Amino acid sequence: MENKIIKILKNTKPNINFSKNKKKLIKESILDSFDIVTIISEIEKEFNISIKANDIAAKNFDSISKIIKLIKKYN
Amino acid sequence: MKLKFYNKKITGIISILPKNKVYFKNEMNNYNFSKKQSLKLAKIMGYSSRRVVNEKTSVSDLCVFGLNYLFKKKLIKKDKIDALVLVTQSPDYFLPPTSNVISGKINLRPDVICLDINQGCAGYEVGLIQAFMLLEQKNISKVLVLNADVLSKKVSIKDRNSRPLIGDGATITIVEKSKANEKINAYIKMDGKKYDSLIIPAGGFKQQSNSSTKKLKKDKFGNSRSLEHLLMKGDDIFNFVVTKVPEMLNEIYKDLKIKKEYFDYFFFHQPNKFILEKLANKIEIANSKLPSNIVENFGNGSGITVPLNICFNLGSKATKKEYKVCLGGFGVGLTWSIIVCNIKKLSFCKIIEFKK
Repeated sequence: MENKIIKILKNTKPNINFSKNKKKLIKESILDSFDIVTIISEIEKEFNISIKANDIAAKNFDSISKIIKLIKKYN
Repeated sequence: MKLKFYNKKITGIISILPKNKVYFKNEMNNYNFSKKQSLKLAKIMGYSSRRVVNEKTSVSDLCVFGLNYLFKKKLIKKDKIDALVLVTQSPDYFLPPTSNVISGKINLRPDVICLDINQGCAGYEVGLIQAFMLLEQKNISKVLVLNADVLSKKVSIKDRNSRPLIGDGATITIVEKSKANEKINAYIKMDGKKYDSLIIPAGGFKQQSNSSTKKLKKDKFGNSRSLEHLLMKGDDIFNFVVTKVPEMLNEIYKDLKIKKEYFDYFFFHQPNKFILEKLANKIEIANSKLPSNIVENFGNGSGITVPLNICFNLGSKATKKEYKVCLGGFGVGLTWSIIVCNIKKLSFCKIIEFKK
């Protein structure tokens, strides 16, 4: 799952090395709200889920581990 | 605030759109993002084509064009108008009020009340509420609610987040007294603490225009804008919409003892396709009952989106049948409002193109 998420993140932000990046994706301004929208759409397609509005919050996209946790909630 | 109005009705709606269409695919090169990234975002957000005015066209031009069309087609009589309520964030001048300018251009009698209201995404509901309040007066029988904006002039050409969304246009809604037993419920809330979620920071009287406020600055994410351009905090707006609108709807269901099935349509403001789809999903309304096709066809024209939504998705059907509708606006201010009313055999419900 982690590799798939890194691929999605890299497609959105090609200049960032997400595999080495343990930083806070939102707090450190790596992703903005429009990047998150694109990532949500890709995640929904890749994992065949529909992320609910309540879960679309910056805190759920601030790191790869948080994104994994969110996806697991729907599986 | 909960408001109730009796014996008032909407009797006609017309949308006036600039003829000029701008396509996202033709603008992509202005943005500091790859073509692939931009196309992906376009599909999700509904960026496609939008209507924008040229540099010389103003709010009063759009409104006067629409009003003259209505006079020419004998859809309204000039001497029957008692008030003009103009809702805009892009007035012709800081002063005088643009509604006075419009009144002068179409030669209305001095008895006609002209009011400008500075509101945006919830501007249709705010305008209707003001019209209903005016109609409480014995001497006022017909109010014209004009919603109009030309905000494309205030969005940076290098801002991929906002530029592809913003459209221009005007709508005119006729609101009158009704002899039938009409009941309208209006709900409205405002949270000024979040005033900067959608803002044009400079160019007004707080921070006046100068060479520094006009300078383009690139943000951390690759968009460039000046302090005189529209700034939208996308995450604030998203969270606001998907939290406050469902809360207000639940309050309405409870107060009025109705269920969502009561409504034939939910005509909501059109921020973008993504927000609307997530909102529809949260409030469990089918997409067929909550149209989300305005941004992709015309752009987000602020306060015009709800009446344009009615004209585009109901059109002439609204002149023949009666619909129970939920009209919802949410955005700048922050302001959110829902009006529960009937759209009943309107005299007209159409879209025309502005030509000069």
